[in-house]
Amino acid sequence: MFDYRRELHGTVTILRLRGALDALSAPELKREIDALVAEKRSPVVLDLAGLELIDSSGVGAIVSLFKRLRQLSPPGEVKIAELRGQPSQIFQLLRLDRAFDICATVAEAIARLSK
Amino acid sequence: MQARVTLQLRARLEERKAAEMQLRALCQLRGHPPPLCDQLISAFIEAFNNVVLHAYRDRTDGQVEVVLQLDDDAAVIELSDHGQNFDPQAVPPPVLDGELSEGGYGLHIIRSLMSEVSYHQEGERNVLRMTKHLRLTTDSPKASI
Repeated sequence: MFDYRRELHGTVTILRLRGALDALSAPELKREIDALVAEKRSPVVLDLAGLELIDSSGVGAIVSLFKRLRQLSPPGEVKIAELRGQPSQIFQLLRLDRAFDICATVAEAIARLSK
Repeated sequence: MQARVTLQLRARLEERKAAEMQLRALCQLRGHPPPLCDQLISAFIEAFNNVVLHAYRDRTDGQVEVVLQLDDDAAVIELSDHGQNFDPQAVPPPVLDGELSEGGYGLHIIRSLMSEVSYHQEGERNVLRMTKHLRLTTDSPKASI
């Protein structure tokens, strides 16, 4: 099971992911990523509090969001919040915790964007 | 005592969940901590995805046999298929400190999380065997199954 919800917090787009982001569900998220990029939505905070599991396809979708928003002019920004459990393990293994700005909470991510 | 489960699954992504749940249940019953169970699950998922997406690419009739075997010393996950074989040695490790890549992480995840990984052919059958050596601490709650 996977679903996502998009919310606006001022100019910040919060994308809340829930369930398993894997080879089965990643195409669904990629369609939302297409929409975010087309609308030039930035900054984006990915709220992973409800994300129970991620595989390499799910990682690919998140990397795709990061790279495509960065290619916007001006470059877009993505922050990740509430990373824990198995997804945190995979992020550390692939050293994505160094590539992304990881925040403990969504509130912290928004606060950092405001600075 | 050893716990062993064999599953015959269709090679479809939707089928993976059944084996994933079995593996998590076995792991929890044996009292292994959640991070270790997560490691086994992650390796299994990548292996199963590879069978569906690569070995049986463009095919919907594929079958996968999954053997899950856990004892005090090791967790063994074995996947067998009759699809297209591949050479794991030909798959380069991803560049983790360079430009971010959107793919190529699957085999790296398996190799990093498991102690031993072997891949070979038995006739027309491809067999991926992944072993994780385990060290149960004395305070780990061991279940007898």
